[in-house]
Amino acid sequence: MERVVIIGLIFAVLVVGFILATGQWAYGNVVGPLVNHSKLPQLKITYANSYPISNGTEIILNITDCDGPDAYPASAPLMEISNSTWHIYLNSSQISNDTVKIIQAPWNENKKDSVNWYSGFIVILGSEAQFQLIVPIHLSPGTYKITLYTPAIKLPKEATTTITIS
Amino acid sequence: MASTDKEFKETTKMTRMEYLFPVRFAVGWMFLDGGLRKAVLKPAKLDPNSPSFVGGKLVNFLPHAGPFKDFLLMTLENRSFDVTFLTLFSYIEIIAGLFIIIGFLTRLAAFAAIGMSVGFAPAYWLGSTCEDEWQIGALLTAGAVTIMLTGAGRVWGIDSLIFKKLGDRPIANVPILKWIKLW
Repeated sequence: MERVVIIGLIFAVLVVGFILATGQWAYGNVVGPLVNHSKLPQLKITYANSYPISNGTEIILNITDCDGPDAYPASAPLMEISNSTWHIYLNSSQISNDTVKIIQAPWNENKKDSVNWYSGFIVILGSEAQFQLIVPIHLSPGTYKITLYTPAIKLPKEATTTITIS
Repeated sequence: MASTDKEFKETTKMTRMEYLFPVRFAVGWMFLDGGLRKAVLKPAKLDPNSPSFVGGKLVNFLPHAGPFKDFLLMTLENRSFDVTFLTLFSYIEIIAGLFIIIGFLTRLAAFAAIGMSVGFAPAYWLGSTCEDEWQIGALLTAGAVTIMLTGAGRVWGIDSLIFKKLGDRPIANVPILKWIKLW
């Protein structure tokens, strides 16, 4: 076989393999299931802690956005704190007002996570930050579920975590 | 040299390499445009103190970057490396893109283009309306591989002029590389 043909075959196999492999990896477009991780945001709470303080309850949440478009950030304009018998919602302006400190992850360069009155928590795709909130409510000892509601996201996919007040 | 050139062009089995130019221009311009946007048209994109700094955008690739995640994190957490990497990347985009279009050291330029198009695989999963980044990467990879194999086709480019003047030259006189022609 001519050397040119061998080289052509080698690169043909490499390119075909690369295209099919990366397409399957990124979108499942060879054998499925089809996925598009870039369509809807997916907030996740990677760490949570809480403790009572004199003027309420301090809640610490590390939040990241691990899916969704890169053109605009994910948001959570509603936060729910609940247990089996009780719940309370914090709206976007309460989230913003109660957030006393935001610590950015070291890999957040010029793209910073934040809060504001209209969107609540604002998290850039791939970034992570620790949001420290002082909620002006004294939570009784026990375990509570925290849910962050992101517009257009179905309930089972909303970011949740549990905190314990002792 | 003239007779070799004539003989080559008259070989009935060969497709004329002039037909390759649209691919050369498309692949070359994608890189040239990408580099010009960052380094010339909006230099703030390479300024780490600017909100437009593209280095920060690497954070968007993290969630599904697979085996590239550690490299991305290291780059994002090391600002000076990030700036250097992106500045070099932008100028290589400009040089490789321009060389592919004008057909100068086309094989080497296309080799660099392969590295860049494969190198942004961590972003392939991004495409909220369709499979945008993967389609770009796949087409640029295939185009750059094709151009690396064919070179400029010894037509419509500086390589053809050099070939007419100097004839064949290998990349280096060592095994394997001696089979690869510089132009």
